[in-house]
Amino acid sequence: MVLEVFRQSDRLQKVSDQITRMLNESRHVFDEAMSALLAGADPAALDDDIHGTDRRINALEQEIRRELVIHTSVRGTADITAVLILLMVGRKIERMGDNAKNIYDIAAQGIDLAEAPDHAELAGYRDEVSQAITRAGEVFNSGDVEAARTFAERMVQLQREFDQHVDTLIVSDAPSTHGVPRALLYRYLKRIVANLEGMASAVANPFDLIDYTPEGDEQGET
Amino acid sequence: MDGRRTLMDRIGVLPRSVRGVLVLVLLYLFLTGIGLLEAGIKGLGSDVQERLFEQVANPLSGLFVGVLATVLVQSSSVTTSTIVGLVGAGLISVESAVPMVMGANIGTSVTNTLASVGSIRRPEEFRRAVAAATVHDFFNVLAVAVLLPLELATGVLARVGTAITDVLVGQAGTAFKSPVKEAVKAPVEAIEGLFGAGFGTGTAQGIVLIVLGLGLIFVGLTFITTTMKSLVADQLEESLNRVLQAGGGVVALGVGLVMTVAVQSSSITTSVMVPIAAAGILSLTNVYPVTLGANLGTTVTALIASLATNRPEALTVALVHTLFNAAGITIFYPLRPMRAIPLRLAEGLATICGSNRSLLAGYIFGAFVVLPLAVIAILS
Repeated sequence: MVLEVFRQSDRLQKVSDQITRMLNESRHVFDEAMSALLAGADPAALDDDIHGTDRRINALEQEIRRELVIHTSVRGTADITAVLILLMVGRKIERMGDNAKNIYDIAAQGIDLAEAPDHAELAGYRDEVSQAITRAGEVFNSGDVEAARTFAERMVQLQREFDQHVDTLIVSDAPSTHGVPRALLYRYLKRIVANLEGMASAVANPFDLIDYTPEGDEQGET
Repeated sequence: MDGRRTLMDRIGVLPRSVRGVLVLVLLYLFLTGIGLLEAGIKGLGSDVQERLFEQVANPLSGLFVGVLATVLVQSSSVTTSTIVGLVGAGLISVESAVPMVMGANIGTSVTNTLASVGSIRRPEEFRRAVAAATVHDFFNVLAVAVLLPLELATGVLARVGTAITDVLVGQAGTAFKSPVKEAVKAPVEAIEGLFGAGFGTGTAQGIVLIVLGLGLIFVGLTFITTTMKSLVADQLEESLNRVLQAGGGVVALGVGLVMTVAVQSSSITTSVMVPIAAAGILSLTNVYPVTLGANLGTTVTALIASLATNRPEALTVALVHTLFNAAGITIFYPLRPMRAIPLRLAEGLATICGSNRSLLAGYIFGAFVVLPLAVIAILS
């Protein structure tokens, strides 16, 4: 598909490695944020690490942009589609990092779900999304269209589940201290997963249909 | 999609080893072109030679002929190699060739100035692009403004060039046996024989050989540049990233020099910098030394061309081209107040063009076409 071209260039391969580094950093922020929310970790103790990692993600995205401008200036427009995809993916990962930071902010407000009745379900989502962040990088770098489609389908399914949880919370009689943190958490999880789906769609879809269904409808919500 | 593939894309799909051999073949064709040019000029009648020589006898005419010729072929390497060929054939003297070579330096900056037009829709980006492009123009104009009068008054560059030539290959007026000249002798003689049969000898055959020689120089260099660019594109990107990390300075100058020697075109190096500067990734201060390195690097082509002639004077002209650029860098780079002159001029022009973008077209057309034509017309 569209990413085949960039595999021929050493420099764009380097950008691809930077994408992997960004994903690793994003996963780190996500894991730390979720540990503050679900595992009783002290949010204050994590603050420097989370914000420092977020700055590294931002710096990596800026580095990728510089690399891609230099690449296009030297090579012309031969790799333009790959360049645009890498820019889009860099943005998506940066947003994932921001959403993970938003999850941390819930914990920083004093919300602790370590003993919550729905902890097991939330921990299951935590594990799946955390692994999906790494898996998205593998799928993206492999260029395996079938693997990308399978991955994207699961991400769509997860988004539906998160939506259902939010819908339930909206009409719930539970106090706001129960509903609001969860609604926000599911919302941020959905945004992370939608961005992961977008990464897979960059592998599986033609360029103009990245983030869209084959019918032209917008996928998920970023 | 195929219809929009560039020459570089097409050459880029060839295996690296094939592209390496292609460069050697193209280099041989380029040197054969210099040999044909020399043979063609020798075939012209002495009256024709004299008339041609008169056109560039005035240093200002020579300077603007150099500018105009380079603007037309969009390559100072083609112009300087041709000038070296003309000196090698004995048509023009070193003294007449020096202003032409300086003019070629100015003319080549039109290419990267044209590259800045790509940012015309975004004012701030356009301003940065124009500054990055025209710093090359201003350096070349300033270097000529200082060094041409000095050269006319003292002949210092030609004298130093001659001294180096004496050491390397022998004194002017003698002939040295260039191995490269020997290597291209066979095809030059074969083509001479071929066209001698069709056009006879003398001016007609000379003109045919000159046209063929110029064609080979132009096509050879164009394809060498394209092929080399495809061969070293990854290294070019790596080098530019190094400039970014180093933040300019001597590293940037070295990168500009090496990049230009590798692709045999200063226009490629300087034009690549324009969109990077336009995007705000490299500052004007960092672009400037890369440009200077490119100016120095491009002189290698004329040095290579001089190997295809037997006259020491051809090497002297090529060396003067190198010395001129080295002297220009020495004047306008190490000392901050001197370095600030081309930078401020470029920023000033960029600000003017930023407020009225159509002025850039006026600047390009006026400085690179109208002015040279007017001066040549007046002086002839």
